Amino acid sequence: MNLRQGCIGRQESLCMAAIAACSSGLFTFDSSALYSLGNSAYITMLASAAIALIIFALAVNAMAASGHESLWALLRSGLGAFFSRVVALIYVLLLLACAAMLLSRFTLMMVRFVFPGVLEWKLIVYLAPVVFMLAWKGLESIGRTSRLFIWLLLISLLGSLLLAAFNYKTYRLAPYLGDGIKNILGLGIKNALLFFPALLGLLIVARGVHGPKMAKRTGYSAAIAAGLLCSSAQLCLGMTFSYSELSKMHSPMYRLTMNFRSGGYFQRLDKLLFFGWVISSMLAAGYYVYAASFLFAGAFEHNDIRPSVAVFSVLIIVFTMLMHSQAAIWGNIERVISGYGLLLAAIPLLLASLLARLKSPKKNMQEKES
Amino acid sequence: MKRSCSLLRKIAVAGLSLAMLLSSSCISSKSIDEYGYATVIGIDSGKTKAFFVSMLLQRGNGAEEGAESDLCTHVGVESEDLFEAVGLIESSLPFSLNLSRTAAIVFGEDIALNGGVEQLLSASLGMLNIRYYANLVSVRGRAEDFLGGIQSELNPNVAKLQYSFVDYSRRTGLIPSFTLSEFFESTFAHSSDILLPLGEFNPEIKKDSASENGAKDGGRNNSSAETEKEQSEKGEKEKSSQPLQKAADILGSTEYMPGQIKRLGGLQASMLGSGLFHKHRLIGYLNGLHTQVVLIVKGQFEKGRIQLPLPNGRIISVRLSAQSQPKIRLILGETPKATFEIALYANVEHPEIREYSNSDMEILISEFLKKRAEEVFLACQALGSDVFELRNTAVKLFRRTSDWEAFNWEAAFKEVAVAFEIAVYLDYNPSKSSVE
Repeated sequence: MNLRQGCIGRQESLCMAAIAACSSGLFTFDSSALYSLGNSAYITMLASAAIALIIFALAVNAMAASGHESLWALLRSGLGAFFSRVVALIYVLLLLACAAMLLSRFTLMMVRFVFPGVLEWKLIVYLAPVVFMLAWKGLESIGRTSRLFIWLLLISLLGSLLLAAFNYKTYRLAPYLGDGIKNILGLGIKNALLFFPALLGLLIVARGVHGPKMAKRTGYSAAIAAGLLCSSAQLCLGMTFSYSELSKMHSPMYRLTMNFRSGGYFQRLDKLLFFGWVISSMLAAGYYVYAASFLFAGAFEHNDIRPSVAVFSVLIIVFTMLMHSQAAIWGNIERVISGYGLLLAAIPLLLASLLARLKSPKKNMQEKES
Repeated sequence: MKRSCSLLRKIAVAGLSLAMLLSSSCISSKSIDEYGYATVIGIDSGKTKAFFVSMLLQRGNGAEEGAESDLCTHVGVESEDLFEAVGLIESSLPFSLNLSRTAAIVFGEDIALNGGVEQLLSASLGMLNIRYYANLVSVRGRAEDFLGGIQSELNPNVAKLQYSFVDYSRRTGLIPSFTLSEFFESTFAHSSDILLPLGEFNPEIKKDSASENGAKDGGRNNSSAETEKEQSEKGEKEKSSQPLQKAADILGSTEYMPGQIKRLGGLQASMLGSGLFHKHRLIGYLNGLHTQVVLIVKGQFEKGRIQLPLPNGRIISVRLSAQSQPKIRLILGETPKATFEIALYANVEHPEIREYSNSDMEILISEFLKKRAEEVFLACQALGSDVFELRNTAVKLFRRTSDWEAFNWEAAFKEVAVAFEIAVYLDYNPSKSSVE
């Protein structure tokens, strides 16, 4: 068996999941959808994190109650051999799409702001091998590297929000509730997919993080931290740009750093902070690729994760190039994901959790004993 | 088997190290002296094309000491937009243009009047790496003249110009500070109308010899330009026949307007007052005092001095500084009503004046500012220019975006009845002598 899982502690797993959730939450949302009807994103992000957390909590509790040590075991138990593999494939594609979205957004930012005029593939060939190496080395490497870089990443994120503070004005957030509570809830449900993959990854590698109970505690902390951080960032973005400006920006976080006060050292900080964010995105993408490979290997009974990692690393490059080429097929995929993504992700998981709980061996044993 | 694995591993490590070394370099690297940095860009209307784009170029990092003609070059070309201008100007330069250090974009009067500001800035300026905090300036006359006028031995490092603008605005309030980022907010968010610092070129101010040399080396690159001899002959004729046309602000005042002040020396270009815009078109000017009043009401005033006329006819200097952010109460409805509550610290810089008590002086200052604020507001309201940013207060009164977008703010603004409550706290001790 060469699944490169090993075992990581609570701090490593928390850093890994939080970095993934924050990176997706801050950099891969669709600006035009999120801001077109006003800016309530600072509330939406909290709602999205909460919804993702609820789905995660139901699944991980089912895992703990039914004695399943990983997501694959839960799916297999709940849905049977065939449907569990179908669902596993959906989750694999979802995780790879999230990894590709991160790569795509950062490549776009680099082409737009750092290396204008450079072809995207020339930048992807720098980012993709790092993602591949992280996933190749396995869970322990990803966890420990995340733990190593967490302070740099926190400083680069919070630093950017603090340095832009001179320009915050509350009127830019108005109307404060966007287009009303209904709109907030709708956006909250759609954007739960920003946080869900990071928690899904924890379910997949639950054995490597000391079991479902530890995965549950880690997941709760990661979702709360990511929700609060992303909500704070959205609040700061909302006080810097009005919703009509934000709806036209594809990289509002980077634009925030370009508004630093003129003169002196701070005006050059945008690229330095960006460097920190690129590291977080590669860690997140590596985590997603590893989780996808692990789930695939488990579902199709491969003893070695390395072929899956290699193939999926190439696949995310293909997805990234598809996104950049704005091919119609990717447009259709994006429409499906944004419209039905959460349903596709949550329903099978919740169904499997319910069925697995009903069939759970622990419960059956307790009944037999009594 | 073990040996071959070990050998393979060594080859892999060596290959990876080599790949990392080969990958660690710049994509299309260029050294700093291969760039000319456009520190100020001027935009005027062109004769054969939409724009005449002029630039002040600085080589290196602009921090070296040396002859001004070596440091700063004035170039220009007619073009349809900034992108074309960059390409055309580079055809005559031994280096590449770099706009990442542009401190200011200066708009000539003709461009500002006919909506050219929005037309030019609606392009994707980020592709030219122009920083979003570059200042925007409007000038009376031609921007290319203004650019020529700021070259001087007094200002060898033109890159510091932006710092000077912002500092002058902060210290005096006689000009506003307005950046490209705020322009985009005004465009995309349809927020308040813009107020740009106003500049002017005064040919009567004697140019120093160093900047004359600089002008010779740079010069214009206008495709339809007259020869230099024709221009100087024409200039002499115009100078003798026509005095400099006085600018008046929207309230008819010609005091504290750029180019109107009798001075000796300094730059030929000066900045004072502001250009008032409505929907990105220039509609009038505000003089220095009225600009201060607008900034006080908007909460963008830090400190500055006003000349206060006393009832006995004497004019005294009063230093003002902001105490807190102004509060605005806005009621929408049949008759919209806005009340601005402003608090200022004041210091009368004439301790020998003893005939007024503290409270009398506070009332004088408060009434003076209140009257000016009302005049300026009514004049701006008549022109439809919401330069006081009431719109930003109105939007907070709505709960839903769809309700706000259905509301006609422009029509409501014209009906707003305004009141100003200006509280002045005087730091004025009549027992002080002018010796202390």
